[in-house]
Amino acid sequence: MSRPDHLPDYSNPPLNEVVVGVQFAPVPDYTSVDACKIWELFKAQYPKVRELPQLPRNFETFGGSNKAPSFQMQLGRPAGSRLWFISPDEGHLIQYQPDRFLLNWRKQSDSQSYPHFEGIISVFEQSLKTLSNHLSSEFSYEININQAEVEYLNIIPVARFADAKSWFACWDSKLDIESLNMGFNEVIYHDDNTPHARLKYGVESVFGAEGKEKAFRMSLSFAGKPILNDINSAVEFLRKGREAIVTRFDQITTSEAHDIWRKK
Amino acid sequence: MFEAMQLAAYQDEKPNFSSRIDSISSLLSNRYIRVPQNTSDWVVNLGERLNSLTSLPPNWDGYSGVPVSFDCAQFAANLIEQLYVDGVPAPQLVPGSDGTLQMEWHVNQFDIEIDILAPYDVTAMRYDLMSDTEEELKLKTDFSVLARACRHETG
Repeated sequence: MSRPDHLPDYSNPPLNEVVVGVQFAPVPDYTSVDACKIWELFKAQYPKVRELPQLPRNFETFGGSNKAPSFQMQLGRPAGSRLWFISPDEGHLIQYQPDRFLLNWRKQSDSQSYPHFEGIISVFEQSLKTLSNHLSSEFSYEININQAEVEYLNIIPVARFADAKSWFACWDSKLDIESLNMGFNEVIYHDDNTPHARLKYGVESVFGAEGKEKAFRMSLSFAGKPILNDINSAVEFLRKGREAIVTRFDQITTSEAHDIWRKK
Repeated sequence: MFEAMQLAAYQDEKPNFSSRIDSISSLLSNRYIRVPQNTSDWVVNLGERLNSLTSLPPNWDGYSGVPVSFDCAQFAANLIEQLYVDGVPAPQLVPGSDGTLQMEWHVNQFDIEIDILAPYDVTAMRYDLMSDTEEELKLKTDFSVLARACRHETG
């Protein structure tokens, strides 16, 4: 599938990482030892492994006074941990836990070409089908997706954090700020005006890993429940999320920044 | 720590801010209220109950009952946080034999019952004891109607 023509496009975007993923109902009778067979499915492309704590469950719901619950309450998790299956160049990784499946891509160097969303979603869809087929044959479990999410992370190098106004159209201040942390959410609606997803924006001032370079880390994530519980519906949801993210990214950043990123 | 909580896997840059907004008491005036972001009293009060319901032993009701599923409990916690009305008692939580969960309020001549069958699969019922009428709703992601009912009938 080709890139939609109507989306803003840049020759040199500040994109640093893209995550696409789904959450699904836990697999009955799954145990930690079954994780090894999951890795076998992806080992050829992702030979490195790391183990981490599981991500908490997330359900985007709408209405009520608390517009965006931020609590963390863990009522137990499916058996096992979160596993990272990492590609040899560490540019791609699969995150798997018994109720989540995610694919991350990260820019590794300036010379590296971005596979674009179409490339990422294609790999993700195929990998998710591989997992789904395995769960179906081993556990008689048909994947029951209850949440999907796509996130774009941009790293925008800056000389001074006070230059935020040059990058973000929503920031209009001449203050010589030392640091910045802002976040806001937007509900995205279906055509019939029912809530569809939540788009979360975050901008924070950061220093590079060595503590020298300054940058803004700008994240846009789109999460919610796909219309149906299957893979096709999840992929469609993620495509819409990508469109929303790219459109809003263009709207909340300045034309001055667009010139630097060489908007087409 | 970052990688333990986020979807992002590679972000190793270090934030250089430390938010202290919660210590600013002058923001809490009668004229303006902050958009609630913290865990509500309901969730705090019901946390132990939710944990006990997900830990019920098999056959807990003598009819082959199973414990409340973690998915239903987590979704209920999310919904409870969304529906929170300051000053109103927390709902009662009743387990279903099949791993589902029911939330109930019985106040002001109204009964509100919310059946959480699975995440995004919710049935809500409101009984008006005065007029002996009832209303049933099937809900998925949008709980605005339920939130209004909670504010109106229980407040």
